[in-house]
Amino acid sequence: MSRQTRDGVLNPAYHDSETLQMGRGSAQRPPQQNPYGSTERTYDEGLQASGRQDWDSAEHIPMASLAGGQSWDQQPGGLSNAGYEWDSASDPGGARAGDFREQERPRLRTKRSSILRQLRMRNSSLFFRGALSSSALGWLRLTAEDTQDKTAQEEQQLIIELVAMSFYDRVRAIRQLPVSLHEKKQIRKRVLLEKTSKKGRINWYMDCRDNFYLFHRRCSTFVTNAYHTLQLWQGGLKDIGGKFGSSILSYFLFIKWLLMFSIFSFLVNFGFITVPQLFDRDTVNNGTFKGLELLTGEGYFTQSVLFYGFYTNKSVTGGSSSNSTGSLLPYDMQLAYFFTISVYFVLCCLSLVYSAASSFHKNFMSASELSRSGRLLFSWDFRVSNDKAVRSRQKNLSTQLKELLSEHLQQKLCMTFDERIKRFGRHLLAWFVSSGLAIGCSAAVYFLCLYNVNSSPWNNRSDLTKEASTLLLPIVVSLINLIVPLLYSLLRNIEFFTFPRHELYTLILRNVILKMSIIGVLCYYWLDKVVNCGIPCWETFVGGDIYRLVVIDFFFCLFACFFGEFLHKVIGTRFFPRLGVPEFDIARNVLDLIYAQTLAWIGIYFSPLLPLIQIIKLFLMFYVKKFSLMQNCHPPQRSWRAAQMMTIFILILFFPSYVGVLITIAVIFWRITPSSSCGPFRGLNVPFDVIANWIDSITLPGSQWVVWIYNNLIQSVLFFFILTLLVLILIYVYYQIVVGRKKLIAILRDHIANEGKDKAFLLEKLKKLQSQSMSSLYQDPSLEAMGSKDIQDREVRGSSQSRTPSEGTFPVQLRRAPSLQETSNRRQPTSFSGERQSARDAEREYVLPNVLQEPQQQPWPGAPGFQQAPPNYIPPDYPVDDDSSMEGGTLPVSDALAQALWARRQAEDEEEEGRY
Amino acid sequence: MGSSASQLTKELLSEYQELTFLTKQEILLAHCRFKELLPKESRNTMDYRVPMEKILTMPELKSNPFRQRICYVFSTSEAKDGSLSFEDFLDFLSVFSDSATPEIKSHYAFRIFDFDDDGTLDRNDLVKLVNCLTGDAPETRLSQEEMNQLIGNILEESDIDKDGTVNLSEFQHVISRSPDFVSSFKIVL
Repeated sequence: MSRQTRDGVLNPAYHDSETLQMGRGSAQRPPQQNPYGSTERTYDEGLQASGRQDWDSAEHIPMASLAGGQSWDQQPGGLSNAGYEWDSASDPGGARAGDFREQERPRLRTKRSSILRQLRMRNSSLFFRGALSSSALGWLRLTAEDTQDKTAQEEQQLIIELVAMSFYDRVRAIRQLPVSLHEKKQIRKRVLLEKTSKKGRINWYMDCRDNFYLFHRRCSTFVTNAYHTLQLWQGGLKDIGGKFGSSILSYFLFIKWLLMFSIFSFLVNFGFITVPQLFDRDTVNNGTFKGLELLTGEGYFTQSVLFYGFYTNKSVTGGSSSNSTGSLLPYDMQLAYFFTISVYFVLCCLSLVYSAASSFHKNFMSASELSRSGRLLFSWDFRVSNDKAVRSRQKNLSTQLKELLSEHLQQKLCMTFDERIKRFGRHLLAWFVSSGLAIGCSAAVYFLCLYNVNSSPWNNRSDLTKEASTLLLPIVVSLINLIVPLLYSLLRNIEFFTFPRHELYTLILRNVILKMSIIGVLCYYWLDKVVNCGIPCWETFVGGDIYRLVVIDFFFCLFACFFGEFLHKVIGTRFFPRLGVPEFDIARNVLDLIYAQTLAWIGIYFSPLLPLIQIIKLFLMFYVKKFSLMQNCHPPQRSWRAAQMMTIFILILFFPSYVGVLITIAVIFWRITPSSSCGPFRGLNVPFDVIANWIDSITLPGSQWVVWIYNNLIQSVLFFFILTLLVLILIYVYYQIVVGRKKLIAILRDHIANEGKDKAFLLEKLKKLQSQSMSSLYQDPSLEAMGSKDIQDREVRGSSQSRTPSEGTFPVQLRRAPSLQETSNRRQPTSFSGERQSARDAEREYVLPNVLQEPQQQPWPGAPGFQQAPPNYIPPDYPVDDDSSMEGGTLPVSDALAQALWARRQAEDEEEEGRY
Repeated sequence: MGSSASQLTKELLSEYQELTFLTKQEILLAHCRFKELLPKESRNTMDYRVPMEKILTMPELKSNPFRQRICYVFSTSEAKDGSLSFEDFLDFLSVFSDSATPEIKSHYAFRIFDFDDDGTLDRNDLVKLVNCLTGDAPETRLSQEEMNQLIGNILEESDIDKDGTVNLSEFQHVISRSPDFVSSFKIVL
């Protein structure tokens, strides 16, 4: 690896690498120079009097070995041009890893993505050309013609590449150029012109492809346009985002996502189960509709398509059963019911895994390295447009930053043993209380269920009071769901978390445990107690229970919105201002949604039209929550890591929730005997027998493969064993790849840091050589005029230290940003020797045996950490530019630089080898 | 809507669709909104530039702390006064739209945060950025010491090549690690 990094210097393409990114910025504000110039000068001169000679002698080493076929100053403008090329070399997407091999550009062009990447890369320089200031050019000694030539060349190259692309790629490439629309238009025009002029040479295949893409694009724009018109709640979401930012918006987007889920499941169930059932005229509903059913799901509804019990187990043919010889193919309700439910769950699984994985990949894997301060700084919410919201956001951000900084300081404080014990005790107590609450609630629900099933005579349901009494269980469950989380959040007063993030995660974990244990108990009750207690159509009974739970949960949500948030606000604003306006609790609300979704999933088997209820519920919930939010709440005080939290919620939705439901459904399909008097599976031992019966009945000659698959794959243990083995092997392979990539990343990071050092080193040398060669041009009035304006400007802003004559003439190159100079002035020159030692320890030392006389003592400025140097940092002594000591500047600038760099790298190599 | 459609010819519309990340509806809406900013007498000319002050009165930008930077970055005006033509305006909306790629978004974010337009985020830019984020009120401003520490932290983790400034690729690297960026770098009309 270390060898590879050294190759660059011999390579002409090194011009393109990031190492030489001097950039306009570096040009305007000379970056890597000794800011301590004049204060240290006398000292430096004394110390360096001997070292300088060797610096100079190093520059005369013949460069034959380095020339490598192409001299660097063949480029127009010499090495200085590399600075201008900075932006072309800094690839927006891929500068991190692969671009050290920029010299391989032509070979990489096979892949579309790499083309796009390169295009973007090249064209960032197009965009900067207008902004490049004259002073920067002046410093780099570039003329306007030079840059124009360069840009024109690049443009030409770009256009040639674009012409060679297919239509689709071209559109994408042009769209992704970071230039203004006007320039994009120009580029497009030129490309089209070029294309029409070459028309004769383009074969019909390309034409065909272009036409296809055109057609495809029209179709896709039509679809996206239609989708945009259909977009639900666009305005509402914009309002919320404008006032509360993306964190709360994510809650509403979650509602929308669940709504889409429910709509899909409703369409599937309605289309494949309910519609065929409606054609079956044998089963008729003879109940009467009273109104209370809407709440309880009893009475009229038990005899309707809403519940399992109503569905027939026969084949539906479109007419009445007497007319079964009709022309339509018979539609087997049993199979339809089984397949619809299972296919729906498989699709759910795929979509959940996909969204969970992609969101995990996007938000967790890559987000790990960045600290919170960086995240806070670079992700200002541009959506927020409300003036008050902006101000409160700024205030929040400021407090958070301040907290963060103080946290940073406190992190190093160690806790004593006593404190740790105390803290551990507090957490233990809190966990004890919370799990006690969860267990108690589950037990209460369980005994209430038992009481319910024993006391309610299901055969006499018409009685109104009895019907209403079925509401007891859902009300208790909803009350638990409402109150216990509030108690949980009170626990925060017992345990004092250092990090709010831990508090949040603990709260979520406790709530999930509570909700899942309640649902678990309910499932146990339904699948064990209800099944075995002799209810004639237990599926419908369970369906009714779930229906009530879903509906009552909805009412409690409204209730909580009104009494919780509204009353809190009234009390907080009128009576106890200390209480304040309620904060919208995203975590609790999202967990409520997850709970409701879990119920809806379980209910699908028992009540195929439950998604309809869920759709209505979510739809109303959106408006209610939005209204309550707008009227009562204020945005959360802390920054909410919206993207990461959404990932966690999707994972929760997947892991305990969906997986639990899947297990329940699997138990129902494979283990539980369906009731014998109602529903599509009546008379079967377990619902899965449907498949066995169907396989037995297959007699069509062409469909033997279905039977084969069933016998040899589905029913074979060996098959699943091998499948599991394969999956495990795959996982292991991927794991190894991940480990390898991590190593590679670490190596590449080192690489970048090394290149950074090279860059700093080269800049230093360049500065030196240029000052020398410019002093030979000293009398040139045009150059002087070019620099002087900028010089004066900086002179005013910079400190007013005295300077050596050469520095005074070309201070642009020799001065740092003023702020740094000021810090350097604060240092006490008297204490330098001890601090120098420490600085030497802190930094890597660069050994330049051929260049410096005292190689071991010379850390060079511009090394890592140079700008972040501690306040007492004394810069290492560094050979000062001195025109007289350079022997006339006979070497070309680039050669001398390459030479020096090469020498430094060799020295490093030797040092490394010595170490091993 | 009808009158605005009459101004935007079909070819122009499809060209804009091809060159930006916007859909047809969004372009038409943008055109509508842009026309509202124009003075009455010049509503029929397409190449009129709306001065920056006028643009900043839009409710979407009115309280954005970076509103002026946004104008300067997207303006193609020769005088560098931040005035926007319709195409600049579309450009702006395209970058802030839903479908713009993260690369484009971070590229422009970098230019917005680069207050002195010198191609790198140096200390001064970061100081200005933090001041924009925390607001002008004296109680929310960070003290000099806090500022130094914060910027030290930022540079420590974003400045990979250790040259004391954050350049475009380093910035994009940082952005790729903050998942909230793409969802928050959005402005919808």
